[in-house]
Amino acid sequence: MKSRPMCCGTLVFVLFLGFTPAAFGQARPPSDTSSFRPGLELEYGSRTVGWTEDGQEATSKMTSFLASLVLEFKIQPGFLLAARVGYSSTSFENLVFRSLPLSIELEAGGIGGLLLGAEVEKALVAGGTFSLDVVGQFLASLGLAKKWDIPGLAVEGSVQGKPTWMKASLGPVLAYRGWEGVTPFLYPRLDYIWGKFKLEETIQELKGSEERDIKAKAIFGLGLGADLELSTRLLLRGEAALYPREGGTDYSFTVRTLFAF
Amino acid sequence: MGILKRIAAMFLILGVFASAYGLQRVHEERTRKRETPRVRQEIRRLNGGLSLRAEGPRFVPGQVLIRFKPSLGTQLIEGTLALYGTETIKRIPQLNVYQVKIPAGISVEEMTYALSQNPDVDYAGPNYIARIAATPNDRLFRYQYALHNTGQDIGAPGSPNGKDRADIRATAGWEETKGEATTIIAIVDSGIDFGHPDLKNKIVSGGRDFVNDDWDATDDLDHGTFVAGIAAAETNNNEGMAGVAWNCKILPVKVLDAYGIAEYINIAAAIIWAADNGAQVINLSLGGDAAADALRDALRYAYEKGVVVVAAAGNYGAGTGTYNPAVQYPAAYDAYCLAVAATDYNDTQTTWSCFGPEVDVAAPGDSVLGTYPTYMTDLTKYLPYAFGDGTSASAPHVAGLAALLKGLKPWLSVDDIMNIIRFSADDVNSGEYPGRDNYIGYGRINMEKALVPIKITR
Repeated sequence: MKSRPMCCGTLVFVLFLGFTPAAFGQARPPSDTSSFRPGLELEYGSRTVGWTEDGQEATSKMTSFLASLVLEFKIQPGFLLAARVGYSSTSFENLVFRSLPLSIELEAGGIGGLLLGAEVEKALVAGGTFSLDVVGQFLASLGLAKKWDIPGLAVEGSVQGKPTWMKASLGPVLAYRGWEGVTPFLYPRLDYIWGKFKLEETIQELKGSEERDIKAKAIFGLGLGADLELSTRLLLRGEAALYPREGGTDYSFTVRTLFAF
Repeated sequence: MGILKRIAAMFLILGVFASAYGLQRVHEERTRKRETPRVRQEIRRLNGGLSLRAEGPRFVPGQVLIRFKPSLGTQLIEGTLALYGTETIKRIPQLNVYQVKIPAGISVEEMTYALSQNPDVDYAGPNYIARIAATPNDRLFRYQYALHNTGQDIGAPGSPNGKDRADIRATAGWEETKGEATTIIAIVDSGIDFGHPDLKNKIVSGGRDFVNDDWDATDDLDHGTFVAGIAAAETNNNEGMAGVAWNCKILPVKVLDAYGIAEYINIAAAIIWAADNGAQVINLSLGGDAAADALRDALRYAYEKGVVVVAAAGNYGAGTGTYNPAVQYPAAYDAYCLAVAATDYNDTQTTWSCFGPEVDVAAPGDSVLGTYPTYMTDLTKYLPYAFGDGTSASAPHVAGLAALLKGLKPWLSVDDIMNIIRFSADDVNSGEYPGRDNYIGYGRINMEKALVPIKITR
């Protein structure tokens, strides 16, 4: 398996359609004959998100586990589109809501949600020992509302939270194709996460809600991975990425399988 | 290279990434500073630790309070008052309430009845008297078990050690906020010692004296000075004691005379004056046993202006000379103020604290340290501080917390602040009375839960 099928964000896709139509037909040669490939992807990431609170920067660790079905389409040689749909679980550490009547610090484990995504990959340089693609990705995690009891109050009270976040990334992928069955690759990418977390508090007649606009502290990532051709019809991909930011580094791990028919 | 070696190489690279993350992870630590003011001199206890309950008439003889229907003009009102032979002493224009002197030979009850039959009169009633809910006894932070109880010797002679954590979690609450200098707590009481080292920098103005009808609210009792210190003594200044609301300011409003007596008309006028003069919180460590519409209307006026009013429940419970345990007024006006009962250094409800369905919360009221007038203290022997008992000492803890909330979350309504204080309380008598009860309401206030983000974990 020589190609590196990746996906596209809708916007990125539009950009490609709008601005680079002439390039579509001239990229790398098809690495396989399938025009449609389904797959499964698991992704785990830990990213630092920040927000402004009373004019001051505050941060929280956002941990996400994504499981999705991938449907990849080869539109033409060297040009792939993929759609993702699945489940997301997002948890936050020390996400603080100080505008609620009773301030809340949420560290309450995963919150499930619907994951939707799109990817695009366009080959720029192909045919040699090294190939260069450009890959764009867009993901949206639409969290489902989750309720927690507020501990230690004189009366019963609860908060209900709903996180929604999106991720857009774009960058080149450099792959080494000199080995049989294994294609390691390296990529730098612009990678941005943004979203909202709305928390509603209800303690008898005491009610309030607060929406927290979250943005990733790191906007650049450096990744490394490999495609392993386990058989002619089964591809396994593993990758890891680091996202350096002020005061530390965030990371993500991804495993994807793709089946060819 | 074989495929297995390549796979191994990839895992090695992934491992290096993971290790790099681990090495770069930054851990943050918080340090907490706690400072303890030092006691310079011995503190003694006065009055045997008993809460003081003043005795005397329930209302001012020869006076009634009247409110006329809003449709009546001033001339018609004056004509009506003349018909009844009354003489106007004072009028609170915001409430349209008149304080009048009634003719000799007619009792207050008779005049009240006669006036209440007049269709132009909204209400008429005696000018009731409120009294102090406690008097300070002896005269710092380690002695302030109410704020931070480690089971220490609470300082008051004859008192046992307190129980660990039987406090209002002040030190934890101060980690979130120490209050805003723009938040003003009106101490509607007996005035204040303007020269007290722990108060002089906290007072916003000369205040208002409704007893002598002037602008000098100097304390000639001691009660107002004592209460003011609990709510907002200057803190972290290497001097004396800590106040609940470190950075908040004090507006002294004098309604209690040198004997601890306050007329309802003056209390009502003082509440309105305080609400009109920048107070965001009003502390009323006083009470009377009679309801009065003028007092209720004054509370409503303050409530509608966004002022949180905190009032002492009273000290006429069991073990006292005058057993009249019903919650005193104004505390009993439940919709417009927080009624505060008293607990002690063991988080036990005090026997003398008034009780009833109007009680919202409790706060320490037994052997509580407060500021004491310098001019009433032999400074060669004693510090200008004293220990006092009563719901008078409890209420300013709650007023201080309300002021901290006002500064921290200025967008909250009065109801929100009252509910936060209620719902964040610790139900310290849950073994005997689970849930809200008539003795300590929702429980003893907890500054940490009211101010600091409550952590929700999975």
